[in-house]
Amino acid sequence: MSVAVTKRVNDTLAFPVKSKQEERGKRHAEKGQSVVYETKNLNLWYGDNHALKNIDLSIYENEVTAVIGPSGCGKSTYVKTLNRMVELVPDVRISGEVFYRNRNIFDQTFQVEELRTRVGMVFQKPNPFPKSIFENVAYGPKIHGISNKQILNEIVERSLRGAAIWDEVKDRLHENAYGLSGGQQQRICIARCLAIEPDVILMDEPTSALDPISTLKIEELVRELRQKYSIVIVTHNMQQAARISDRTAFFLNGEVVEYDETEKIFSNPEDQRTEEYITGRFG
Amino acid sequence: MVRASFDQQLVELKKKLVRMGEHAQIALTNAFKALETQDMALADQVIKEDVVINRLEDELDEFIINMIASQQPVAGDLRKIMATYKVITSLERIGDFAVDLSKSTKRIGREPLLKPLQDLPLMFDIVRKMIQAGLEAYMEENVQLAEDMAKMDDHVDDIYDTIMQDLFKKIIDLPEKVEQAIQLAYVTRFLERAADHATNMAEAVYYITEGKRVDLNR
Repeated sequence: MSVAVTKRVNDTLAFPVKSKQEERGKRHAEKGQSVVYETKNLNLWYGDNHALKNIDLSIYENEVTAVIGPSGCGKSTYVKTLNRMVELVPDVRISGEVFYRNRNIFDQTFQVEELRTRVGMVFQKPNPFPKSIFENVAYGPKIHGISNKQILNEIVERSLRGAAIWDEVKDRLHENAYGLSGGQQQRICIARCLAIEPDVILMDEPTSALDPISTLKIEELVRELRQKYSIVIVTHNMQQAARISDRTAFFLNGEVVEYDETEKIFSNPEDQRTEEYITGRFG
Repeated sequence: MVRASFDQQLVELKKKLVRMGEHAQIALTNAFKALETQDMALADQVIKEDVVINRLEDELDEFIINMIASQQPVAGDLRKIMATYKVITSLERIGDFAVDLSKSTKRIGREPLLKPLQDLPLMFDIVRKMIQAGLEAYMEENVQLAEDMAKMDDHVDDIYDTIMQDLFKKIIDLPEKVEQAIQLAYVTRFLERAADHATNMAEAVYYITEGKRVDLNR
């Protein structure tokens, strides 16, 4: 390449082309919203399967971010990357960067245990331990070395209240959690997550195994929790995303097709594929 | 197609709305014809037939409520349905103006007109075209047609001012004709309002296609 051409190419590359996402990020920065997670050019492969492609996403503090998309689009993979759970899958390969509070989570100095203390997770099926309600919630704090009975009592009550289930279980704290309904078990799991005082809560389809009333209770809870926590929720239920989230990311074939304020996504999406998916034309 | 039955409902909704639009157009045309020809029987018929438009409005309201409750539409679908709801309201109002106009016609009765109607038929012709254009723009989701409406509305407003000034003069010159002049002023006002509702329809079309709100009635 001639010197002139090289210079032109370099100039072009140096030219700050701002994507819509960057523009939006700037808007939020102007609003004074802090970024909790910043994903930069994240790629992930399961063997030969390229499951996440060039993901650039920012998760904002005290917001509910919904991740939607058809099965196999990479939405669960993305969320499981945020607490590095995805690394448990054999044959997984990751490139790019994920910053949690400005620290690269793949950095060797960042202990995965530390990350998971800051980032709690709630799964699709309620998975309480085969222990009492009290022990389920006290489990995390105990592991972190808290043994004082009174402090544990306080943490358990605060967490169960935070998960909007205290009144239902306060008289049976020492009964086995398996005796609760699915919706109650899921709220116990949320309480267990709150007990370690996380910063972020990841939820992977937390209501897909629940009945409509339990689902609404969890949804209400999510809206309340966002006052204190930042929440990322994967959901198949588009009405749920519309009801409870502030921002929605639409994933398709491992890519983020559109990421915007939920109101915008559900009233006037930019991308035809988003429109088709959320109006039920495909997927 | 994943949502074939919903898409079918959307088509059905359009058809029903167009039927309502046709009734509103006929009502306004007949009402104006009754004024021009001082045909009291035709004026009565317009008043009587308004019930059809009102019934269609109820039917469409119910159809829309059912669609929202059963299909939970979002994005483009939701915009389409909400915009249709506004168009329905406008068409129902146009039907009401046809009734109001007919009532003025009856109040004037067979008394000779102040002067041969000139500007008013001109105004009516534009209003009629605007309603037609509004419905076509809705059917075809044609933004251009909707945008043209703003110019037509300006024209209507100009004629409105001319007629009003003319009527003021007549009131001074022919005090014994005050009542008729007032009725004609009402008629002019009804037509001007009908034109505004046609622009509302155009705004709804703009919202469906562009996802933005616009004021065409400046």
